[in-house]
Amino acid sequence: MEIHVYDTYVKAADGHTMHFDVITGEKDHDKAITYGKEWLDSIGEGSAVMTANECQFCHSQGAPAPVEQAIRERGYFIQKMQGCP
Amino acid sequence: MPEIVLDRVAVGADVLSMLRGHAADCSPEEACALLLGTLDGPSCMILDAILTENADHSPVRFTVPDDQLIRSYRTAEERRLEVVGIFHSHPGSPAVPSETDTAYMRLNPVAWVIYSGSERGFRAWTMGDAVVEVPLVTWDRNDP
Repeated sequence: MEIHVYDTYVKAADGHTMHFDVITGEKDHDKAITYGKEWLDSIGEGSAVMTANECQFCHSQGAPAPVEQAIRERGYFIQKMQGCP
Repeated sequence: MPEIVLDRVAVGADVLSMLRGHAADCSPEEACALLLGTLDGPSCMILDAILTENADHSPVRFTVPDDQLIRSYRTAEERRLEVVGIFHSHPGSPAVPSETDTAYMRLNPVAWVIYSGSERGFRAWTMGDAVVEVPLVTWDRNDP
């Protein structure tokens, strides 16, 4: 499976920066933003601003097993980098 | 003006074995390491590897921590070697540089050795005017 990595920096409600990758199975920027917002909502950061400025395409590649499994189950995988709960 | 493009990367079988083990230990995250050796014109010889942590702890990208990067350069200097290459693994994809790898290769046009967990093989690359694959030659220290 080919996956697409979107590098994302979002400001949390308390002001700190969260850095994470939104990884999708389709190269669709709008969808990546939608998935990212969905995840932010799930961690109580639904009011965070996430647009194409905060979420930028990084690269495409083959999928490691845990990423592929998550994408098949819910359409995306979030790789936490810094400042994520 | 492009950097000297490598035409050959020679690496010890023991080094490849160590890198393969490191990739397996780090999977499903990407593994990374600094490659120490010598350069003779376009010919690169890898004599050792310093295994490092992947600061990103990610299956889709890697960063060598700054302190380990500095320590690796110091070690190379002490051993009168150079940091001639960068190693990382692609746990689930071919050993071909991604767009992100290519961007970093432009900044650091040394030998980039990639191990594919899906194909279980190594390939070497470098940056000239564009990304080029370099023949990867294996040698064994025990050979006469």
